[in-house]
Amino acid sequence: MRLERLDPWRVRIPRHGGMRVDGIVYAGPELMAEIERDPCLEQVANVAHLPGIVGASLAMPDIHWGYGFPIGGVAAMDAEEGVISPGGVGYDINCGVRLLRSTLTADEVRPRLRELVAQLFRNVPTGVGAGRRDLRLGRRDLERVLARGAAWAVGRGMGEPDDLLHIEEGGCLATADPEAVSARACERGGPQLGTLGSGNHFCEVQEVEEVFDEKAAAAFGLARGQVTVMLHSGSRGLGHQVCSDFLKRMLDAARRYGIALPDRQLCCAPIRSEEGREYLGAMAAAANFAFANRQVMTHWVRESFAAVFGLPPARLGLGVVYDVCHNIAKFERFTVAGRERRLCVHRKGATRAYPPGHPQTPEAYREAGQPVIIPGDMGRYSYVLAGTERAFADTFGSSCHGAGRRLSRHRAKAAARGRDLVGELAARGVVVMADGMGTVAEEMPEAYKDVAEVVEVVEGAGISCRVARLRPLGVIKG
Amino acid sequence: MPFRFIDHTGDVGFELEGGTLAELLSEAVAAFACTLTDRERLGSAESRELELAAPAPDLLLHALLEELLYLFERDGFLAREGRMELAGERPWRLRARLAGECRDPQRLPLKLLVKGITYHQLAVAERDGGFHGRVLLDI
Repeated sequence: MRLERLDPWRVRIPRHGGMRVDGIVYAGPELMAEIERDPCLEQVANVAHLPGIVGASLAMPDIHWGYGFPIGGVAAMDAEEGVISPGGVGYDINCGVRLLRSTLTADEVRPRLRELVAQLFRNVPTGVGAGRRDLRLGRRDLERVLARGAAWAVGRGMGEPDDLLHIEEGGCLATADPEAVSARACERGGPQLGTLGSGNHFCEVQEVEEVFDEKAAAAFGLARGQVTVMLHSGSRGLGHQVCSDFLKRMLDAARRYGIALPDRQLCCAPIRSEEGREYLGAMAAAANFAFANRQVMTHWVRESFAAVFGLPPARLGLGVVYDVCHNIAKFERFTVAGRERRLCVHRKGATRAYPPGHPQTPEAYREAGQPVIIPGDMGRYSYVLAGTERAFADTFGSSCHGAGRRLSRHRAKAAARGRDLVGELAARGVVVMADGMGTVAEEMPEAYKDVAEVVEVVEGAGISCRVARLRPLGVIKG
Repeated sequence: MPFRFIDHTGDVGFELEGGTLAELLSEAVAAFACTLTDRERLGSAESRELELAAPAPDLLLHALLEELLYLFERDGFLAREGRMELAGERPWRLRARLAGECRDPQRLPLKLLVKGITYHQLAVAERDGGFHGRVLLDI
């Protein structure tokens, strides 16, 4: 595959074959050398084949081999002429990250850290199976979750109305159609509301280790030494099943609409088709389930802190800094070649990064820009960034979503053999509790790229600015 | 071993072999169990029956794995092995008799959770007198 370096931060895959637009990969020379060893660049080119794609098929610096779309892929489709692809959203619809800030300092938390992590591990269900016995949903309740998202949980006393102001889309996609969600999806995922899941999902207690932009950090309510909590989870089995259901339908639809696919996982249908509209309604409902899921777990995080520190939640702060979607397709407006257009932006392992002043950036952050929360790995650090005008102009308001895997799970496990990873992390000051040690091995720090290298690219390219770096103190995983 | 795991950066997959399509599908049951848990410790006292149809062998493999995932997520049922009966082609029809158990989390720790069975590089081909398959799972 021919590649052309455009500048220190971007590489172009020139349009060839059935590609309708170029591919653009955000990566410096070192990251690019790694990326080229992975089949993901072919996936960037494959996405460029989809009808109605606008601008370029984009890849963020945390790109790695996915299925259909690469992980770290962004593609904007014309809302009238373009297609919607369930594979461009992924199985874990609205997998995303939420960051909470507390009034506690790391020095206050450290003496009780082990107790706190154990309390979180008890309160926030991890791994497989159903969630807590005190949260059982009937069909009507589930429909309300699918329609209202995080607001459902707040209405049930699991959160504050202020939380909703600091969630992408206010924690609810109004286009949700609960009736488009299959009985099988409800059956599979309904009991999993308020569960973290497994794999790369986590709940992490952190310390603000460094502040790069004092003004933006102050706007986000972050200061050096402060304790934060990061939650990474999605729509669980419900979203997974919605994706599976519609992939099957889209395989037929793509054939009927005469859409040539370089990879069947890219199967899609015109946005304006019946299949396209139904998928968008079901996807939005699953996204709302994910917003509610993170909201419920936020409530249990607050209860865990209150139990350990013997203080009412109000004294502990634990307000929502922001909550972002990583896997989503949404209608957004951008100016392309001087013309404002309504586009359906697929973000598959990418984060919205809206600039200062944008009406969808929360009031409190209007001057700083939208918070962009970038988890790293459980041994090193994560970042809080802010969205920029450049991202709005160049990447359909998108940035990276994490560190990106460097090792396969198999290779990570091989590298972990014979090592006491929990002990190694404890030596770094990180308390880890997990359902199984296999997950800890697969998710060990070396399995990921250094997220600082990824962040260097998005800052260098001007699509996000560093605000703060967070260091892990304690982690629970499935 | 008639199946082997594929080294994928973010997810997991396996390649399968069988003298017949039915054998390949039986191997898929074993591979799926090995992906999720220690199959050697998995019992076979409980049974389930599936009837599936698909327009092509690779889509039949996909449909079978989706059903295995659904049974696991809904009931905790994990099949240790499956007896496959193929009844007709185009569409390809399958009757699968599965033997396994509903997982006891204390006795059978889970290796990982599967989100979905992808179509990326999904393949079943007949060559060299046997059947070869490939499938990637999202985890």
